[in-house]
Amino acid sequence: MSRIHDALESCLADLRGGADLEACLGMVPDLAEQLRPALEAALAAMALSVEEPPAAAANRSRSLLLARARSLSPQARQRRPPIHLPRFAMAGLAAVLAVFLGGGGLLVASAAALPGDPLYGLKRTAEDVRLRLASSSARAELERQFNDRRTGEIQALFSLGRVTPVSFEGIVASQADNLWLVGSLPVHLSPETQLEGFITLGRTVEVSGLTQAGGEIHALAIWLRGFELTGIVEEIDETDWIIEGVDVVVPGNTPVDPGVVPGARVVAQLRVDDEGDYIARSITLLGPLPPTATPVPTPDGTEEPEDEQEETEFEGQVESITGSVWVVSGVQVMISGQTRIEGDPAIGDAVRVEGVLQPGGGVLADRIRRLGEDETPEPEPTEVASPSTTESPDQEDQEEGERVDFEGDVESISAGLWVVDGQAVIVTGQTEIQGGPEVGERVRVRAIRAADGNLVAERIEAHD
Amino acid sequence: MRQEERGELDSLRALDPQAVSAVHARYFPELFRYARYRLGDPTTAEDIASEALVRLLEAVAAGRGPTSSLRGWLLGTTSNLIIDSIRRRYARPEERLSESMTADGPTPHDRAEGSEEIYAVRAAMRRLTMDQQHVLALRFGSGYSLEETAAILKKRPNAIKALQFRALAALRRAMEGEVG
Repeated sequence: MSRIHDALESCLADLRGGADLEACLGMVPDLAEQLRPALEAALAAMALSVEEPPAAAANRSRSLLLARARSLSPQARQRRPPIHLPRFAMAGLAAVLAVFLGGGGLLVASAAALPGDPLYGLKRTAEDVRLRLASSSARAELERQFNDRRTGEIQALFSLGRVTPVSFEGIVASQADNLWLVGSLPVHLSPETQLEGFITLGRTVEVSGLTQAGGEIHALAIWLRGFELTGIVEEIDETDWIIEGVDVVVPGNTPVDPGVVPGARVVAQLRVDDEGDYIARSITLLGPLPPTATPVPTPDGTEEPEDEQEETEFEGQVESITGSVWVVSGVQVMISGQTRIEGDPAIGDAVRVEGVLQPGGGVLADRIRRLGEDETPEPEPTEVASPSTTESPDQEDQEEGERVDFEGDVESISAGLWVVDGQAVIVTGQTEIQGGPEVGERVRVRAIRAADGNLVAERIEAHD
Repeated sequence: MRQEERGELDSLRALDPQAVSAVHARYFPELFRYARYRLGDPTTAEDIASEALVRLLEAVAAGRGPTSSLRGWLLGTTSNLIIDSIRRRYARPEERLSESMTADGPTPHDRAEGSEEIYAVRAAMRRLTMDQQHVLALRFGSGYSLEETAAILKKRPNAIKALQFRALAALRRAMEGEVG
């Protein structure tokens, strides 16, 4: 039989080269009768043309694979707590949010803090939390307010003659040699100043530097401001996306959440490149998919493990209802098919919202309940199992604003909240984390105790 | 395993995004074409090609994965996923697989290709054994040489020649059945 197999292979090569079927069969007349059916079938099999995969398909597939790689990385696994965070930890965060939303005493106490003051980190934490919970429309106004605050702080430092690390953002108003004006602040550039991006007049930049006694800032680094874009993905064409009408370049190595398809609502972290194009640093799926979108299952058919979710609850007044997005006391609240809405709340009603914080801001509501007339529509701190329930010599005198140092084992790490030796420690953007501590490792913690007993970390350092 | 494939696996094991992207860029088109040839449906082909790559990543990250041929492992996994997909789609215990598979008529994609003949060939192809479909897809869909196909299937070239001959003869008979 091997001769006919060889003859078939030879004829296939000829057919691929453009030869005629009869000519091929003529080369092996004694086998022609046996070969003809196979070669006719081969011609039919060749006719089933297969084109290259569409670019969008390749892009979707690559995003899926990269997302799976991220979830498999040791860092991603370590970010997941081994068990669900204890309720007190969730409640602790909710309490802090409630305090800040309600303008608690700690916020007042820290309001006058300047960069370098003990309470300054807490002041910035309060701002971060407010920004995180604000609706997109309110967020821009808050950012403007907070940036004005930065300018005021820096001017206060000038008047006090303090040399202090600061950071702020503003529009480049002038660029005279080594002295720029950013916003209303003079910024001195030195050969050591790191510049990122092609910075020209009128561009918004972020500045990191040191205040000088002479009333200017010695710039350590200046970079084009990155920003968030929240909206609907309108189009995906390989690396060229349109999000909420904005052209965004999404390089192949950009982390993109699985399930991000045209029609999905996302938060894109963007930067501006030298040519003024918006380049995505990450694309995060925000809230529930629109009804037309289909969630992407994991390859093994199981549900994708949920990212850590931070539960929260608060009370406030319904300010607007737009489709599945409500605004309750300035907080954007998203409604899904699973949200329980009780009491038929309307605009102006006081409600209690229970849900989970979303990575891009706002709350995905589990439940919204209209409050009765005898219930006070004000934010209230959730009951907190304070860290004082655990033994720590530094906790005996719990004074607001007190600096607390302790050592312990990291029990869990989640976004914004670590548990060290049973104590919930709030980690903010200002927290300095040294040595890359991981779950199970011993760390030294330096924190400020908030009024309600929560610890806000200034520094967490891996223990040698 | 070829040195190049070993390097790809090493970089994949590190879960480095650039390495993952590079492996994807290299193999996704091949896997898509293979699955598209077997199934006709580009959407399912995309899903299956993606899933094969995800399974590779998971296997490599878990310390398993290909030991002899990366491409062979991927195409074998893709073939198995296609079989699973077809079984799920046509899971009717009272019927034989091949009967139910050809009972649905042309898919929208077959119709979009504008030819009933192409539908007939695809339907006939589905009547072959999975091994036969596999070898025809590799030779005629993906365009691998005899030697490449032998390496992917971990068989000797002569065995591939024989399998190919039987597959084509069976396809011809199935096509007559489709036409008739």
